[in-house]
Amino acid sequence: MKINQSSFLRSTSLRYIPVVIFLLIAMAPCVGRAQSTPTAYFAGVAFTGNHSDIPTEFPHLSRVIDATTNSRIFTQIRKQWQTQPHAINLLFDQLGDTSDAERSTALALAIDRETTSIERIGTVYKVRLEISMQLLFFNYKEKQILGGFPIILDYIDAMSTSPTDEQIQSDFEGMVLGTKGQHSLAGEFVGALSHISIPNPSTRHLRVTSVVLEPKAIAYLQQYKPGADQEIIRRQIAQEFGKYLAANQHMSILPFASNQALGKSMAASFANGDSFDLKIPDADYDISLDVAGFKKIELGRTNTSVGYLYGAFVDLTVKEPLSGKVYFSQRIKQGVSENVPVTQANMDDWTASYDTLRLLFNNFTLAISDPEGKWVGSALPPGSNSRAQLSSLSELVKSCR
Amino acid sequence: MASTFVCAQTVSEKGMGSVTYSGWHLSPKDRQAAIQKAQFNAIERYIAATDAARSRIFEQQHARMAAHAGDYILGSTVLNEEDDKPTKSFNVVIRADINTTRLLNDLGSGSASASDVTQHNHLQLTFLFVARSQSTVQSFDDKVYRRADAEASTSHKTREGESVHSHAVGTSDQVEGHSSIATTTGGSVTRKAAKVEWTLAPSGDINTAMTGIFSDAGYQPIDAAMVEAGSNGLLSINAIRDAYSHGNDLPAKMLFNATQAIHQADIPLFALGTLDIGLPDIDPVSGNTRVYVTVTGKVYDVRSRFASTVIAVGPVQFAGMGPNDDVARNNALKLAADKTAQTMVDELNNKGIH
Repeated sequence: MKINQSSFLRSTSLRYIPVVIFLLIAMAPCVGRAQSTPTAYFAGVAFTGNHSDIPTEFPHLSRVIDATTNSRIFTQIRKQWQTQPHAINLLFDQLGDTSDAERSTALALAIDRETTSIERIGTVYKVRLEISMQLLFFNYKEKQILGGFPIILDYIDAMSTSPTDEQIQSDFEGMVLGTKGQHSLAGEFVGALSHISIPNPSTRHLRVTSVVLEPKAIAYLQQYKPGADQEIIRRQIAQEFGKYLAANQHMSILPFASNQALGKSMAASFANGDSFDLKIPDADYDISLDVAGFKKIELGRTNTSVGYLYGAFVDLTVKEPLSGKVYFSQRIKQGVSENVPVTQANMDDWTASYDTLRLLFNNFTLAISDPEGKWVGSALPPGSNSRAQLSSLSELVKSCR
Repeated sequence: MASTFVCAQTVSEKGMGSVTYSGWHLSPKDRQAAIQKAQFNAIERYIAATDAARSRIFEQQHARMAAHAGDYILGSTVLNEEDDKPTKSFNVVIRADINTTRLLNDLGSGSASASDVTQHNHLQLTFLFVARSQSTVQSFDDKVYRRADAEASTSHKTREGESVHSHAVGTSDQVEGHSSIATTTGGSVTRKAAKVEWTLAPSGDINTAMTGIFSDAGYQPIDAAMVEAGSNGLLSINAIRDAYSHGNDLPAKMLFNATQAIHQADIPLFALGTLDIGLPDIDPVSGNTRVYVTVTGKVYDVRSRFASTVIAVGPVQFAGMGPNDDVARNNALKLAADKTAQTMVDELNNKGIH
């Protein structure tokens, strides 16, 4: 019997096509899985302030977080990390290599700020303690902050007498270690870490290069926080803006300046001795923050409560320094209203104002992705120019990723 | 010839370029020309930030470098571009990744290839750099001499009076006295410089770093110990090191003998200097230990009877940081050795001493 070879071959080859297609589909996830999980070397707990300012800037946490506590937190994080799903390969017992792009990222639980607020309401003292921190990823080969994901830990208590320094110290210790049934640093850190992905180093670099406190802002600071170190405040403001920009736009930026976390604690995660000689590269685009001022206005009062409005005003400029091209230069503002009981004898106005400033940074950095959003209308000057500039900034940020 | 492995290095630098075009629109060719100008501008900015010797070498070869600037650019990112249609000008700002290893090789300041060395027959060179740290610092109190001259003077005034009345006679007298003391003070303050004694540190790592830089540049470094062995006592490394442990200068006779020893060995160049290691302190920003090293050095041309100084470097300071004194000191010494040797190579090239 003669076999029609051509029809046989055609039918034979066609028979195998579904098999080939199936194999290709089955292999596709394998190709995706072949891409490596990003690796980071855990550097422990670190402060983002200057080493010499740490006792001033963190009067309680600098006493709580010593070598022993750091070791306990390290152990807590390591234990909890093993029980969580994660998209990052976090290494605890190995050293990285600053010359290897795959092995040059360090991660620290970086503490930015501690706040102690005591307000008297009638016969009760309301005590609010806050630890402001971030998951700080820094790439030592590119010298870029890959991400600074903010976390805020709050503790509020009501006491019949004004707390002593020892009581405050003990409460901070409880927050750090998670005693007294509180959320702990380690728990919040691991919980946040399991939900994030690390951005790649950016091809174009943004950096906060200048923070200026204008006279009205200085006067407000001196009135409501006398004795505050203006250099520390300036640095904190620069870091806050950078943190929210990196987190909300999922991009990496250059740090404002070196500090204890970047220059020492995280640098120790690498085998290369030159990691300690950290030099921040020049930015491609400079961000300037001129803090124009703060305001506190009484909105009205009733028999039981008083309403206040806190305002923060910042002149923000983004430009390319060599050509002088300005992408954004506008005054942005944020208001926050707060009602307090009439029996409240004193208010921590500086903390409320600083929180308003942080909210401004958070909202603005979110609005970069939504230039036509509702918040923009209340925060930027009216007119098409400000929205056009915000759109221009949005395009710039996209090009930086 | 000794050689060390040198990794290719890249540096990021910004550059700006502009072109004026004649057509109705900016053409791709015009845009590319502006970018090439910006790339060369980035190279110029990088060279300008290095030392004066390298800048001079670059200026001498400016046209040649401009002709193929792209050879040194590994990649560039456009940061900003503006096409000004009314004036028909296009401006662009880029950030370029510069292959500094290739750039410095072409300038003659970097590594030399084997054929290059054979062709140019680079000179032999021997060097002796002493690393030392302060062991004792004896400070002297100011010698204060004070003198006070006092001059006393007194004066008296007397007055006598008489009054006569019808029934009585009265007298009166009055004495006024005045005394004063005038004091003149003066003196002098004599200060004495602190006496510093030095502890010598091992120089093996410094020698290795400097040998690498010189040999990569095409010079033939000769170990000073080998020269000493054949100098019949004219060159004594231990004596030189001991002299530097007590002061900053070599005795004239010792220096003359050393140059004569090298001259007799037919080695044309002799580099001599010190790396002074400062006391560690704490960097206020990072909290790392920080150590400063101060470098001072000279290169002598010993081909004639009396050596002439062809290069003088320093005093220049370099800082190194680390978690402890040792790491910080090693970082500082390595940086100081690398930079000093590179500066000497640049200066030698600039003066045509190959």
